[in-house]
Amino acid sequence: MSHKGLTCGDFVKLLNDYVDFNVSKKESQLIEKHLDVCDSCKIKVGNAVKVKKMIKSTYGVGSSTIDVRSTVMSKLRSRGNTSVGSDKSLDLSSRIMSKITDSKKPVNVFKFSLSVMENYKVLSIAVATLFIITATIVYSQAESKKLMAARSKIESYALEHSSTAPTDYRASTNSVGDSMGNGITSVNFSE
Amino acid sequence: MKTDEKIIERVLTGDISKFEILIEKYQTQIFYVAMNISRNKDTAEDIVQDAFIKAFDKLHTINDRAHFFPWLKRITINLALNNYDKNKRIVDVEVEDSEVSFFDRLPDNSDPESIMINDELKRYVRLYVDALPERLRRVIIMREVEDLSYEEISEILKIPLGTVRSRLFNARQVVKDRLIKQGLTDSLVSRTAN
Repeated sequence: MSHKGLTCGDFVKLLNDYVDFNVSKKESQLIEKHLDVCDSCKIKVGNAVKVKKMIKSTYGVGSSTIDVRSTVMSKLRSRGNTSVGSDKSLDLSSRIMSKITDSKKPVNVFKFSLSVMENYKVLSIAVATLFIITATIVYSQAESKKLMAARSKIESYALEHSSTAPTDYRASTNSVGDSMGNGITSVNFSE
Repeated sequence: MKTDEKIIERVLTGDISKFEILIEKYQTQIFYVAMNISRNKDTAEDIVQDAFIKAFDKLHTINDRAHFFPWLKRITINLALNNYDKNKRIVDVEVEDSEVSFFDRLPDNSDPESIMINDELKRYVRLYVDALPERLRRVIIMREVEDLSYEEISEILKIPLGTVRSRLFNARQVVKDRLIKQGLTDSLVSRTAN
């Protein structure tokens, strides 16, 4: 149903805001114009208002009473420092003073070390890993140098011994590849 | 009776015994605020005590001393919500509609006009509101009972304004539908219209 611009669908969307007085003057005028000619929406407003009132009266202040005066006052007095605003969470000066006081306290070296250890735990692990990697690289390089030295030593030894051998018996070996000559080695003796 | 502003001024200048006047004045209302959220009398009483102690501690921070009660109410609501979240033991319960309708269970000679305001009606309303999922129940209680604005509800529950609107709409719809189903709101409105 549409009545001069505002449909029942439009009205339902505004119903909650209307009963909560949460609409603009212009919206209110439009709604009231619609309600003048739409009985079903008028019933919806009536229902919404009645439900609101029912809930309010159901959950409102009833006959139960409590008395916490003595409990609260004795709690406040028993705290020792019974000055109003003893909560210093918003008091900047107190927070600053407390920081200053804290900074004057002797530092527990053991606790401090522990906290440092905790903070730098990850860093320590990273350094240790880096050290192990570096050590491994250095060790492998030293090993390869040693191997190279041993090889050159063997080569020079072999060269030295081969040059002292008699020329008559010097043999040149020609290895014939497997594909060429059934793996036979030919030996030529020269005078 | 002294105004809240004067009492607060006396308390802040060191006369803490005057704080007792504020407790006496508001403890019952605050108790119902706590009760409506916590749904437990003992818990509500603890919350009331905590709320007054917190209010005493933060009394120097209150901007508008004339509005002490709304300020205290917000402290109470926050404490009750925190307490509820901590002890989340109340499970959302779906209420089965009773087979016999409300009017069928009334004595024949009952006057319908007086019935609308009697305890039986309140019992039904409470039953349906308490049966709502907690997220809907909180919003409807804050709006209808505590008269908080949409913005205040949004701020306290830390939910967007649109969510407040939709939850309120759904909560009202469910309660209204159940009351209509029981033959309560329809007849009331039609009688009013006539």
